[in-house]
Amino acid sequence: MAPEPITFLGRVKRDRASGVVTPVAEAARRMSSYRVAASNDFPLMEQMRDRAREIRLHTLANLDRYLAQFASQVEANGGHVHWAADGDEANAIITEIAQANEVKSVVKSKSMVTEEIELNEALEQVGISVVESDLGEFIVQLSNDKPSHIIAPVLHKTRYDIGELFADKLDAPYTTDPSQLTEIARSHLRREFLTADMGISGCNMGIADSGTVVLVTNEGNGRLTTTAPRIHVTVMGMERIVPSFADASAVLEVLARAGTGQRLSVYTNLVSGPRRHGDPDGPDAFHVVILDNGRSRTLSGSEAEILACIRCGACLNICPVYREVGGHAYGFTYPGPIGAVVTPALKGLDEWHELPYASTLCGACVEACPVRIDIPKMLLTLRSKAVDDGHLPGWLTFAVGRYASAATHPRQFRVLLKAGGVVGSMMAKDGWITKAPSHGANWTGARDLPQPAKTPFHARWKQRHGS
Amino acid sequence: MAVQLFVTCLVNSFFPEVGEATVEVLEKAGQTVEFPADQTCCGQPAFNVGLRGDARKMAVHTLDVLDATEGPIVLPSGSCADMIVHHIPELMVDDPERSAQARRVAGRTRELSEFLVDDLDVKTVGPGCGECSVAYHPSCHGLRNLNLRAQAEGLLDQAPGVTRVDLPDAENCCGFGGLFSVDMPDVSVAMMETKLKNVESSGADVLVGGDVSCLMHLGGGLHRRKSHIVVKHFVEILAGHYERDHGA
Amino acid sequence: MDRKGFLDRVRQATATADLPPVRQDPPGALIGDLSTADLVGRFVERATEVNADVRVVTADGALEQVVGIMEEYKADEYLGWPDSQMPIPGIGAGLIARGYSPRPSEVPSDNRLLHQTAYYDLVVGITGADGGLAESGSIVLTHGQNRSRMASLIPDAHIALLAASTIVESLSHWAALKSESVTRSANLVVITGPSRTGDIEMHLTQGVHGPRHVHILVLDDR
Repeated sequence: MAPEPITFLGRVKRDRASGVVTPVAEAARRMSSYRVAASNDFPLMEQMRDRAREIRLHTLANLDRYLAQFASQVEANGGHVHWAADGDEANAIITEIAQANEVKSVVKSKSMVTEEIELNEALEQVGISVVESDLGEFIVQLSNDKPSHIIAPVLHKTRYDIGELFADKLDAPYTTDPSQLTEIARSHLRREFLTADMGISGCNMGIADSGTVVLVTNEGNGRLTTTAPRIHVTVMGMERIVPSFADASAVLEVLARAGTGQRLSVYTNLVSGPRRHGDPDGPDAFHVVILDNGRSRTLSGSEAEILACIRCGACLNICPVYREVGGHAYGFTYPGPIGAVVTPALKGLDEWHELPYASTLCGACVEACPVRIDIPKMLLTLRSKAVDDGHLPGWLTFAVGRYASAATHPRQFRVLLKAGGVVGSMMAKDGWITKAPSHGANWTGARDLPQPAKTPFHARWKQRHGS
Repeated sequence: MAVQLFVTCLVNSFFPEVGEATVEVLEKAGQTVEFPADQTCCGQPAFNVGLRGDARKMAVHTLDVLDATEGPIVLPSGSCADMIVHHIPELMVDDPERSAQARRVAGRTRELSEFLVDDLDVKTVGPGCGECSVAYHPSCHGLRNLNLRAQAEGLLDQAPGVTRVDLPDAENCCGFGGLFSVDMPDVSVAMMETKLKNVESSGADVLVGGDVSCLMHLGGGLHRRKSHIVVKHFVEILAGHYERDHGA
Repeated sequence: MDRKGFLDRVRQATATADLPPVRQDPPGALIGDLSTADLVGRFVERATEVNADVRVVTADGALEQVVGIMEEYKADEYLGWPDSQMPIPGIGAGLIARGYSPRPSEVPSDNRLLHQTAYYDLVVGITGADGGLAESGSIVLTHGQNRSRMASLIPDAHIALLAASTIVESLSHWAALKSESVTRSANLVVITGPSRTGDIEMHLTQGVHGPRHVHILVLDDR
């Protein structure tokens, strides 16, 4: 396998050439249209968005207090709470729980946070088998791929890709019918569910006052993961908290509508500890691993608001850049506009300074975001930090600097425009420049450039008005 | 009170005819137009790539030039108006005097269609075009940051000879994005291609917008494709320049 | 990391967090107006939209409906909640009287795998519901003593018995009116239609891991 290209633009080139981005635009457009339809259908949508935003921001501002309350309630419910400063600590904690309980097999329901910390790899390293149970994630795992969308992991694959994959890896008869493919996965995964020793889930929300973990799925894998195995471990990013069930309900009212256009997802699963005395089924033990991994650093600064994200995927679906480049170009677990902020915020700009520039600042994401996160504002702040850290290409810094200096000296500026007109007329043919030198080729590679006016507006005005 | 015209640096250098059309339309609407001669660039290109020092210098210059005038400041650009209305005040928050100045200037600043429709209540503007079919691309900053959702379209619909056709996914960004267009050209061009496919499928002869920056990008793409479709600022249609230059 | 160290770090972060202004206390529950003259009608409409089969029944007619569904699936056994947990009386007793047999729902901790793998091919599950949500066409189930989670999860078809009088406007209304429902049991689930996925080319497929079919019998007890 070729090594992962290290730049955003390198990955864009790779994925556009290989065709994996081809299905993305249409799927994203459809999901956006479902969101719009579901929002229009719900008379309280705008009020509920405001309320969900208030709840998320209020919780972040008081996060230590709510986290402490959540942890105490989980323990009161008979669960165990673990605190992980980073991914390595989280993986070590989970591995230890598994080994202490002689766990051989793990079944997982879809979780972005465990992708973020590469938990599967950590467990497999110590000989524990891990099976992803969300259909999309299962396909990702079987094909050694990465998810390309936070709620639709195999948005980039066609039914033909999946038919071949199942025939190859599962010894299933080749089919391209989505229903039959789903049936193949259902019967394969069912045995895994019913026999796994441990279930690992992510967490859409943690309810502070009841110590409850909220898990939203459509397939039912979230419920199976948290019901069948004898141990259930939830990995929770520390920002996932809301104060109460009522607050969680407000977020849930906008989450599915914004993500998939459903009023609610099929299963909204609220887990408050292990099975209680007399419960016929459910896990015997319940653990929550609370993860920082760069979040407290993010919370401490100008990107704090990004932690209000409820992971619906609406900003990916509407983003005109995401639609063209797909999810893998973003290089990390979180693609699209949310990823362009959250990845550099969590992991630093040194390696990820390109991502804030992967946007036209069109603002479609803010409009779509159910909690109205001002993503462009944070992209702009990250860009200025990237500049401070010396990450802007030298030619751009130079060119803008010269332009700024001319633009603060009106006479110089007028000379510059006149010079532009002269040079332009030398390079242009029939009013168009088709091949500009140096970095100008970045423009004329695929676009012609109109010839700068021989007489700029200010000169025309002067000719007519005399001043 | 006279209207202060801020033409923007791109209109000044590449599209002076858009500035002239703006003057004609404003005068036809009964306005006296003045042009502060020392205006240059609002600073948006620098601001958007994160060069806040450069952006601030240009913004300060712009504020000084505009604050020395009186009356509404009108721009034939949603994006530059957004810069003056929203981002220049943000850039100045740490300096109380500049901040007050930025708020004064922002309060006087209007995008052209907004000024014509919302402030002057202009209903019809001629001469329009003899007969043209127009697709309207609402540029992002005007659309979302200034809430320009119907003003230019309404004027076009009232202009003689103009037939406006539906542009699929009209609110999808065209991919220009300022320096994004040369910093990430592959992505910018991919977005442009998507937009142009929609423009071509709309059946329009003219692609009309309110920001010459986006139009320069899209027009450059159309010209490269040897398309018959041309791009125009809406004010050029209203002023009859399309008819003058391209009419049968 | 220990709890104190972790929380200290979070506390320090909140002190400098650049967040848009927020209220100091969590805002009270917003209950907007979703009222309708016909809550049950809306529930039926919305649940049907998400492909649940909804039938409004009388206490006397419910058993016949359940039997009809059992016959549809050619099922002679089921996993279910006992009559004591059901909003419609006598269904379990009636089914047993007609020769249908309930499967034991207790999963013993010391013999979990054997017990659970026997659920592999289960066809029908029968449960009650604590309430219904009209806006989304959902049913709310709390689990606990004698209330199997698996019954609404593993079988191919889930039959849920719901009293019309327990239907409220929406999830927000439920959370405001019944906040104790989440603390009373270790597991509460809100079910909105049959299990589904759109993961393959956004093609809607029903019955991934959960039931392919959901039948809701609404007892008209108003």
